Amino acid sequence: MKKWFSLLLVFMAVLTALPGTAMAKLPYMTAYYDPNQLSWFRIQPIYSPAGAFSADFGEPADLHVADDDRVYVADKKKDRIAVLSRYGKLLRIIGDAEGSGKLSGPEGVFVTPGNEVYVADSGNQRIAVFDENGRFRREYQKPDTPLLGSEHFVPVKLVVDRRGVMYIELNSSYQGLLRLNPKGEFMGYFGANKADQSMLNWLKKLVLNKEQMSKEKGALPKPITNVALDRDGFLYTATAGGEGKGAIRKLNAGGVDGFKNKTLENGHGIVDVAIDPEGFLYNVDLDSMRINIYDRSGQAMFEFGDVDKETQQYGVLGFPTGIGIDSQHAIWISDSATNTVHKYVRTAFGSSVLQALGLYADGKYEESKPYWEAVYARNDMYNGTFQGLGKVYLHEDRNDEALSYMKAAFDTDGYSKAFWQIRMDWLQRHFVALVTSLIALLLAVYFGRRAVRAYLVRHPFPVSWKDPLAYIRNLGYVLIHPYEGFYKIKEARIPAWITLFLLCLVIGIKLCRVYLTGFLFHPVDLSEVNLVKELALFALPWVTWIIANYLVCSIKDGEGRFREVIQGSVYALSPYVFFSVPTILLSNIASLDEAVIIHALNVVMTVWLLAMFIVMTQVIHNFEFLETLKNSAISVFTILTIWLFGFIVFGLSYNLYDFFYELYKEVNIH
Amino acid sequence: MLAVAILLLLLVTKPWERTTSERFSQTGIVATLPAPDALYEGNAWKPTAGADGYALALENDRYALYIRPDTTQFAVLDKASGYRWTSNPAKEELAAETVKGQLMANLQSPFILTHVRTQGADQTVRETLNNQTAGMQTAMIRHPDGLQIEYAFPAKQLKFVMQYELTEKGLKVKVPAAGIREEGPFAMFTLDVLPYFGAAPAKGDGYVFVPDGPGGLIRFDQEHASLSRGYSHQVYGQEVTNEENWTRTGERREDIAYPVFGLKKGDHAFLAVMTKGEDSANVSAMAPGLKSSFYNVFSSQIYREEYLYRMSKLASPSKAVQKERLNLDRELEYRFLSGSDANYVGMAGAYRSYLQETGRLQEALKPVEHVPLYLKIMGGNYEKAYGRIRYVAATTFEQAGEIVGALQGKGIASIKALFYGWENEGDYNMEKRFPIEPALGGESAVKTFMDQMKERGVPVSFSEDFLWVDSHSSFSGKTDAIRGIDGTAYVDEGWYIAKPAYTAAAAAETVDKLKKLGVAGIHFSGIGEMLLNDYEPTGIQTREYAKTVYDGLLKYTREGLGSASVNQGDAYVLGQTDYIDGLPSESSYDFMIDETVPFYPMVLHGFVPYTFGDGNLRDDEDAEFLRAIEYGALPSFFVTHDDSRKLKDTPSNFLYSSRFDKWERRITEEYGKFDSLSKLYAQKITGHEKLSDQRYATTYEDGTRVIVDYGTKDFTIEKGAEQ
Repeated sequence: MKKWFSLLLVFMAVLTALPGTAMAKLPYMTAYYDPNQLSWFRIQPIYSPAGAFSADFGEPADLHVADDDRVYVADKKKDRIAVLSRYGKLLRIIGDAEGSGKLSGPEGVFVTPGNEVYVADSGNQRIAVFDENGRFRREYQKPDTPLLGSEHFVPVKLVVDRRGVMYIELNSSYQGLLRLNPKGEFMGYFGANKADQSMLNWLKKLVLNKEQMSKEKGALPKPITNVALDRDGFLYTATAGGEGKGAIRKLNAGGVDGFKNKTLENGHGIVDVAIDPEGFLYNVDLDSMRINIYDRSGQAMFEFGDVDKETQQYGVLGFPTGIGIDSQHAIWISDSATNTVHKYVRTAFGSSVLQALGLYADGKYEESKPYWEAVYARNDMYNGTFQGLGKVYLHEDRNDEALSYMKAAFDTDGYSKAFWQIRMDWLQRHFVALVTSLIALLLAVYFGRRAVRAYLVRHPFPVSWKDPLAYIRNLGYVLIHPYEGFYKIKEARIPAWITLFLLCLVIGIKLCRVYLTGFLFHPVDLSEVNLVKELALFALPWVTWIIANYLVCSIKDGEGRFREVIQGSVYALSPYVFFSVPTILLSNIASLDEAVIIHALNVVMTVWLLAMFIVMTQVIHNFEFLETLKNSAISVFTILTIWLFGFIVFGLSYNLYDFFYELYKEVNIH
Repeated sequence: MLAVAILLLLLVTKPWERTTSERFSQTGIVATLPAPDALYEGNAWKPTAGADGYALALENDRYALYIRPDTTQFAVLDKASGYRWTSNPAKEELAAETVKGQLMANLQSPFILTHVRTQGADQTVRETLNNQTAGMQTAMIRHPDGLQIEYAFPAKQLKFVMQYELTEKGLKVKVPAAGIREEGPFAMFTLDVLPYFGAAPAKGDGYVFVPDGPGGLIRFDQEHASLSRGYSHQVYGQEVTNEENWTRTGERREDIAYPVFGLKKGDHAFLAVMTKGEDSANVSAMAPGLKSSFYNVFSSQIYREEYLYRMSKLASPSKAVQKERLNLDRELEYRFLSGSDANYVGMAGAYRSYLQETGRLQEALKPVEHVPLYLKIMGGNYEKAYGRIRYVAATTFEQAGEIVGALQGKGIASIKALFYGWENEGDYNMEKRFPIEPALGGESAVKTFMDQMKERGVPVSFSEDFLWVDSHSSFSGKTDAIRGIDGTAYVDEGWYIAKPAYTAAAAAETVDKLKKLGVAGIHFSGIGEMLLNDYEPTGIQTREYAKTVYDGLLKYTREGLGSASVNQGDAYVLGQTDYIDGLPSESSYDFMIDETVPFYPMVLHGFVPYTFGDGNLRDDEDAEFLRAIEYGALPSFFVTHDDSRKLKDTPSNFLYSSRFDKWERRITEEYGKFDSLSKLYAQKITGHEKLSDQRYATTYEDGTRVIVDYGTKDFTIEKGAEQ
């Protein structure tokens, strides 16, 4: 994803030169994440830089924004805590006075709602506690318990819960957070990450014996990078390095992760996490080099900002070390490369959109409406608006609008709800008419068939039509009576044009499935469907099946000729034809509540198709049943081999093509 | 057989196609560069220094230049005020200096020459020479025009020449290309010209002025936290083709649009205009703690650039320094200001008079009854749908007519329209512009639209980019694309940049075709915002050449259609543009820059109309509107008839919200506010000051003051004496 986005950035850099590309003037881009399309899209700034403040920092290693919006910065090099006002002015220095309160290389700071300042005094191997005036109060050293053994007590980050229990991250400890009660007694470890169960480890376990295993380095859980606490007492851990897996975990008092080890977008290089009053999460990430905002479930919403170790610009971070949010939603980030604390404030647009999203998350759709409208006035490309307003309209019973908005946002859940309502209303209004017309239709079919038959008796088709018609009708017959049907096919010399006609029919059905399936069961932008690819992927297995089946069975004394295999394989597709028609029809009138019918139809169709191919193999080649199964299995294996072979050939020839193409370019433009 | 062979030959040589140079010469645009500066001839001048070590070298009514024969440091005496500008800090000022060695030597030199080796390993290692370098030889010639000093470094076999001339306004400094000699295995990389001229110690009263955005001040009395680099950026932007310029993740910034810098120290100030070779120079400003304990600002002349090249796609890139020198004359003009002129307002005035004196600024605008509304209309653009290219129309010509009509109906008296996306298939296949996109109505609709607009008194320009060309066209990268610094045709994700001659030829042909349709002008994208060297194997076509061609093209367009306009408005287009869109209005968010001031707007107001960001696409609605008022910009909006969401899969997806009926009211309201300043349209800005944290006042020629308050989000007009 990262690579894709950086490519996109390059592309956009090109676009700056194209007509009127009014690029934002901020030194970074802002984008929003669309979970329905799994990609990032550009949007106007949500946050703008509001300065980078320095209080003569040596190396700001952590930052905490207290409830009164004072910003506490742990300065590792200057051995002190700096307290800044919400305007970035230095208010006070803590821990620089000689005496028992003197700090040494502090790497973490936490301020309780009562304004007690807890410092992870890493150099002194203790937790130092100061009161709100910066006077040293007490300290906690390594708890006296045999459970900790010889481990060094080097606290680097910490939080303190309402009861005064400290959760301390020790330097590169993989055991999780060490818990100390207010008396300084050890209460065990908390919230360790899960050890990484990689494929490689699993393979090793499978292959290696006990002795060899013991020599392998154990898969240790990743150490927690940083930790934060929200207003409800949930504890959030940030863990870097797992491709975003469990990058942010939301732990309850029992240590259970509310996010279930979820993979976080832009979380591979997470530095720190912060939570705002609405419950949105903010992280700063060294891998995507962005500041990211997530909703309450850890779903990515926005990314902005930039990281550049040589930065000399506001808003571009050098090496971020900690993040905090104040009550005005300003983001504070400590930066040890520029030795400053950066501040970002919400733009007017950012306020509207995040307010709207907050109310949306609370289910207060009605209240969110004016905010969504403010967002919509400034941006009609942001898909979130359509989802949000869609929900509002759903609640206002404006289902038609809701339907189109949900479709614009690719929100199938919302679409389904609106659709259900609209269908309900329609049925209520048109029930009688519907039933009447259904009955009329049935009668028409019944009498119509009789009439057609009677007509055909009087005016029969020309004799030359007889065989072709029978062949075509056999497509239906073979569905119910596969054995007899296939015998008929084997015996008859079916003209090639009939086979071709049937094949076209199948492709037509496939096209219908692509373009006529209801939105709920095919939620894509139809203009973006790559038809060639779709058809190729559809035809490829079928074509390889024919080749593999013929090759295998002719070796295995099968009787079938190539033509017969093709014919049979076309007729074997009959379930696809006959099941697709009701499926497509149903998909246009079913909501997600009835999705099970469609899924069931699809499953039955698949099983039926498999059965047809097996029967076809048996009949065409005149095999016994067991022989058929065996040869079919070999055919499948052959198919896989052909694909592998094709893949290799393609890969090699692509390299060759690439070589010649480069050569051509070299000659032509260099 | 023979017939086939002839046919093949014809197909390969395509005699019916004209070459780019033929097409270019047909336009009649002249691209001759001025003759290079000459060196002074004459006998060596060996002055005897006075008691203070200086000897009088040059003198006119207003200034006198004294030189120290031993160090070639100099001082310029302003006879009126008695103030002495010196090339370097005085001995007393250096007493407290903490830097030593090379940096200390640089501090005492009127130049810093950086060079590289051209043989052996480490050809990218930079070494510096200055006037303290052992073995340096100087030779002076005094000439009626000025003073010439030749610096020779026998150990490195390098020589260069600096010339000083006094003018009525100050001092001219030249580094003629003819004076450079590279006779050994060393090559010039950069030359810092007068790096410490007027350098000021920290904490004093004053500031450095740098051309960041509309203008940036670095104040002497301000704490600057954590600066690791100074301000050092190339005029008109970096070389796009040099991969090394793209390796950093950050650095999205405003390119320098005007080649000017300055310094204010107490009651005295200078403004330096880079008058020759400015497109190949950096403006550098340093704060105490970076290279010395002084604030200084100077031009660093670029002779060669380091670049990255790749042997193959898979290999990691290597660094190299370009072989051929950028052989341009360099010239700067320092203009001295004192008293009430010694500030950024005075500097803007000095730059404006420089532009006027040299004919680089067009005549003053005529007063108007109502300010023009610049109405940009996006026709549409292409998207890929159903496996092919499809044009998405957002505003047809007919609908554009309706939009203009609606606004005129609302009482907007003066509208200038810019139409975007009119080309066949939009931005797909940039070479193919005609026939005009049929989805918008085609050429007949254009004619109707143009007639209608002529009747209504609304001139319509078509916007187009003639620089970037995509590879969907039949464009030949080999012959017509700019060659990058590594010598290969530059292509980025399938996009080429056309050579200036190609751009001019294609644009001139477009001008001729649009003329028949009644189009009133072209709004150029790229010209006036991007400038490149073309590293042809036969020799570098410099940015100087590109500027000349673009200038000719703008002239051609004005003569052909009536109007030419550009984006951003780099200083080299000021003589030939009728309007600048997106004039820099914001800083680049540098740590170093304390205050942003409307220097460039002050230079242009009353001469070239300009707008900032479009009213419907602002990041910060109120602040950007107020800034436009404060800086004297005109209103602009970018609209479509349909929802801009239609364009979300097209390259025009930057139009977040542009549906006309969504914005109609806001346009009328905002236009009313801008129009309340219509009396000021043709006036110069004569003053600008910060009244408080949130309030700024801009003063115009007739004494009218516009006071903008960012706190109350409002502005007031204090009428001038004449009203």
